[in-house]
Amino acid sequence: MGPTAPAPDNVGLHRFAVFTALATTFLIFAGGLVTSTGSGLAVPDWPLSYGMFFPPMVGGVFYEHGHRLVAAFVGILTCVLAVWAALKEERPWVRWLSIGALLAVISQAILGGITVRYLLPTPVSVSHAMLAQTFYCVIVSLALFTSPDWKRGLPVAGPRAGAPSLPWLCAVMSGAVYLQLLLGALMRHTGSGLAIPDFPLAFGRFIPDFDASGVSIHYAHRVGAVAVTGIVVWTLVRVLSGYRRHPRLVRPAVLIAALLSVQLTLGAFTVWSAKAVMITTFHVANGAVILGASVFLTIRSFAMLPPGSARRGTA
Amino acid sequence: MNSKRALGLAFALTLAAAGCGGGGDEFSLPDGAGSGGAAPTGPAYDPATATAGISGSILFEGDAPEMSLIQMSADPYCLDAGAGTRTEEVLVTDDGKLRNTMIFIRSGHDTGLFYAPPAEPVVLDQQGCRYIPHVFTMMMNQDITFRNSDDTLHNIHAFPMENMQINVGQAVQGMENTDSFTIAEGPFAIRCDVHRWMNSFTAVFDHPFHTTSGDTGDYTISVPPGTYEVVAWHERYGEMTGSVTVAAGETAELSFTYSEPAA
Repeated sequence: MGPTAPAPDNVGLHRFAVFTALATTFLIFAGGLVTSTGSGLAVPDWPLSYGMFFPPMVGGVFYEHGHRLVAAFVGILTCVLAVWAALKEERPWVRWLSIGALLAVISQAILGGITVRYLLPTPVSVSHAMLAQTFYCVIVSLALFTSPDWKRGLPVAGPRAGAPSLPWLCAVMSGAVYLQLLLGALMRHTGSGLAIPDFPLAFGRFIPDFDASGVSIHYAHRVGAVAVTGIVVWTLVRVLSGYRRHPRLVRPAVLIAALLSVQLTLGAFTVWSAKAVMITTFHVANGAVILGASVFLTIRSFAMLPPGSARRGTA
Repeated sequence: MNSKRALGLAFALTLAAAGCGGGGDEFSLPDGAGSGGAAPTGPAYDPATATAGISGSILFEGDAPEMSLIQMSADPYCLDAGAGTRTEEVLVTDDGKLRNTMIFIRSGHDTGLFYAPPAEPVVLDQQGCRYIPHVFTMMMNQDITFRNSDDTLHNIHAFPMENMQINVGQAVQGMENTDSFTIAEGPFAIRCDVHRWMNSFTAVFDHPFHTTSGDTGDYTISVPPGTYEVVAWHERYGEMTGSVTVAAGETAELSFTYSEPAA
């Protein structure tokens, strides 16, 4: 992925990648609905549903089978994306990344099947949730790498400065968000979402008794939220103070901060509403969008702040 | 800060929760069944030795809470077939007796005997998008038949703690599936994930000395003469225990009284 001659625009492929990313966002929302409504086992068989391709969409079947249908749609999109990239994309590493996306979505489908067939074992369900986030990051990356903006070469915003430098700070932010989503998945799939029933305190205190594992997981998620907030604010301040003339960095940094404030609000209301379905599900989906935006900013910042002297191309 | 809290805080701060999943089974219920464990392999129990009896009523003191109407709009069939259905958590008869309570012997019976399971299966039916019966008891290795009498699909999802979970789908009216539980264990829930309001409760015993208060609020258990610890279990009000001694040819009376706890 080193500096090379700019690759030709392929706006169609880029737009398709963006569409796939949007569809994946909706897929994560649909998957969140399955857990929020407790419908994960409403369809006990897999890959068919009650032995059918299209069972009656009643009760929990609507959510579980609906999730499968959206997943199948995203799977087809990813397959088309990989084939399209194989045929039209000149950069081998982009072709390989699209194949990686295809393998990830296939693995994700199999994991989804295993979690149904084995009655939602926590490790498998959490792996299913986290592979979804990983796949989402890959698709967002593909949308970025196939953009004309990227292919023509992003402008250099300056040398890497500070410790940590902005790109590495963004990388830490992405890692922290990913870990926070892991804790969120653990919380959901161990039924710990209301293990601490009050907010912002925990059983009326800053630090609760950790008599049950659910309390520990839930509290870890809250601590994680504080850590992520700190890193996001740090990143935003760094971008605004050092790179405010570069909207390619400012916009995603501001977006992440805005999404985070929404996320914290949704998290609070998830507890206050005793896990109302829509609030909880938007909390899940918004978390994924924050991760995608963090990965987006991380990649951009690495490209726009090259180590050492400035470079011209990013393709 | 005591050591437990400190450890827990360290756990949270280091984000090391991943390895400590477990728990979180929202349907876990207190142990309340018989002796549990594997079947005794001693001489066979002779039902003819059950010459004594324990009987009584499950009484309810005070005003019974009103059961709410079930919102069944998630499935048009259920909306029609189950119109007017209320939750069955607390059902009190006109003469003040609590229905759907399990009653069973916890100790006092001969644990060295082999108690053969009944040849006939228990049947859990789905009618009007609810389970019938709402509460029942069964023996380990006794067949249980799940039947779908509804013109809509259901899944039957059992949440035992000791036995393997069961999750079976029944897409077509009239479908039947038969299974069994091989380990004795206390009350657990059976639910439909398609229609989240549908639930039923059962317990699995390694002996035949168990029943429910059914529709009348009364019960009778035939037992050999002896002294027994008797347990009543209700899905909302939990467990009560009593002791009774009964001689051959006699029936001892043992009633339990539940009430709504003060708010």
